[in-house]
Amino acid sequence: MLELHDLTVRVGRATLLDRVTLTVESGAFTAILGPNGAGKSTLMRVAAGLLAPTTGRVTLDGATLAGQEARALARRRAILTQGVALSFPLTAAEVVMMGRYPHYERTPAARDVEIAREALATVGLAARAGQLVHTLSGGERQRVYVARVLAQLWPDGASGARWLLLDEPTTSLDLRAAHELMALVRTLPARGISVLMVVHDLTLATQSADRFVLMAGGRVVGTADHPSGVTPALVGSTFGVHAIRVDPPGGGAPLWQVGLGGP
Amino acid sequence: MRRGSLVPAWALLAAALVASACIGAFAFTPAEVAHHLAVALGLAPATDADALAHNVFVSLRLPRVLMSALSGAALAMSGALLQGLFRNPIVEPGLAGTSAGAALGAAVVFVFGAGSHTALSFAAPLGVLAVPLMAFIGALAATALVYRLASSYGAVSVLTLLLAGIAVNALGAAGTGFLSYIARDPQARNITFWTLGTYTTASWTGVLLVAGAVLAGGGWARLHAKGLNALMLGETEAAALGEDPTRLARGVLLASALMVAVATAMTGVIAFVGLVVPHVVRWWRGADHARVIGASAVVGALMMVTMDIIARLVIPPAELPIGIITAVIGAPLFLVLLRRMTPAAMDAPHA
Repeated sequence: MLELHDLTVRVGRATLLDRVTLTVESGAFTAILGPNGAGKSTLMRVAAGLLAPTTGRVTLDGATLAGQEARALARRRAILTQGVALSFPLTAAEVVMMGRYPHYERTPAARDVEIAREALATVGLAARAGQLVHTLSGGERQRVYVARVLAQLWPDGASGARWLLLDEPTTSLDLRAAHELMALVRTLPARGISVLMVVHDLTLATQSADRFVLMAGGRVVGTADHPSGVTPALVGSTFGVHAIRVDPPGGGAPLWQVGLGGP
Repeated sequence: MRRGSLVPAWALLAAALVASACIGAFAFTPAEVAHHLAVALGLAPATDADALAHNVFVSLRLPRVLMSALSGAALAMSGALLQGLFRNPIVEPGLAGTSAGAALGAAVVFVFGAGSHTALSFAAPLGVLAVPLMAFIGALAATALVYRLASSYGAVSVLTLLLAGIAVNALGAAGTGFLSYIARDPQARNITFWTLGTYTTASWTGVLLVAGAVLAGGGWARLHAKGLNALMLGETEAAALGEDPTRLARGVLLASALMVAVATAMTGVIAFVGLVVPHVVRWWRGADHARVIGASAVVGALMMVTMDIIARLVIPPAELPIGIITAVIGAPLFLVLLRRMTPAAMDAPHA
């Protein structure tokens, strides 16, 4: 369980997070929704232990995040941001191996090499291991980065919950690549990896995630334990739009139609 | 190709070292080189007949050859480290202010230091360490300033980096220029010649100092290869992998300033080696620092030994300042790299 207790983050005079209290259940795929400037990325960085909150605290499976040894923490929580851009010629295999860095000292063990290979196979890129990452397509590149965080959190016998934090990894992807990535992320809770993910696309989010957190103005304005809990009224007030939810007659994921004109 | 062995580079370096030891106003054959080396190491008896030749070889030629190799290794490794820190392959000690800072620090000692009779001869008690020490302080201050200006919130803006580099370099050059203006003639000429780089003044003391810096800086880099790799993804990603980006950045600044400062103090300013060599090495062996650091040292040494041979051959009996040759080769490459960068990469590669 990832628990945020009364978190406030201030930078200068701006309040990025305003007394956020939130419990994220493990074993689920939780999506964070909200407009730009809602504090989603700040929340992710604080939850990952990469940014110390001004006040409040974060506990991961009962233990306070602050003061935890960085490498030990890195073995059970990983974060993928949207802005990774490599200026250097690294192969897919080399980037994925970085996910094993918290697990070995100087040279990777045979098992580390194996896990890196399996992680790359999991995202369907086994054949691309030796290819330079900057020569891959945008979708393939993002999958290499996902393979890196998978290698970092690979269960491999060790017990304990693992957490993956994803900050809008689908932003620069085309339709198919975005859906492929979501399909992959959806399989992670079953592998023992709990997912907390900032998602921009409402339809994609309600199709894929189990739980939902809606944020606006640095606060949590709503939560839902099921896609049906993401109501048009909640979406409308969170984003400042007029939202219509269309549930297909045969069941399945809802579609969203969004227009201006106030909630 | 990417996992290419270092053996060919070592073989070429060995050949270049022998060639460099042979060529010069006082020429030696490879057999003579072997003989003088054996005598110097006590493996062969010294003969009176070749006392002069032996002296030229041991006191002048050998330190010069080793100095060119070691300074090449120092500058190339420092370039590789700085490029990793700034997450951009166009950075090098000459651009990041490191060399200009080292030059200014060293020039201060040249003008006010041990040899002068001014009231400011503060550096006298430091003896032979005065120049490298002041060069280190200058190099560290300049590089740290450029890094501070170019990075904010874990992202490095290339545009700001280039502009900050220009400003800090101009400031360093102004300081060095001012010092050579107020200096008396022999010192002034030394500074001028030295700002273009030269191996003619190589000494055994210098060789040992640069060797020490290379071992310390290169050793640190080799031990932190993992962290330096993680840093290529960005500071946030490195931190999420359990590395400490702040400590790594501090280490890179210290190690690269140390290597550049000591090399610059002994040989003068030699630009573009730190740019060209890591680039060749990454193209050859990939960007993993575990392979880049060692290969940069070997290829950097090879490049500078070769440059020094060229410097002695172009306009005999005079010698071309080494910095002119490296600039002729390095500057066009720098322009090619700059041209290849996308506008987005120029702006901020890691937002």
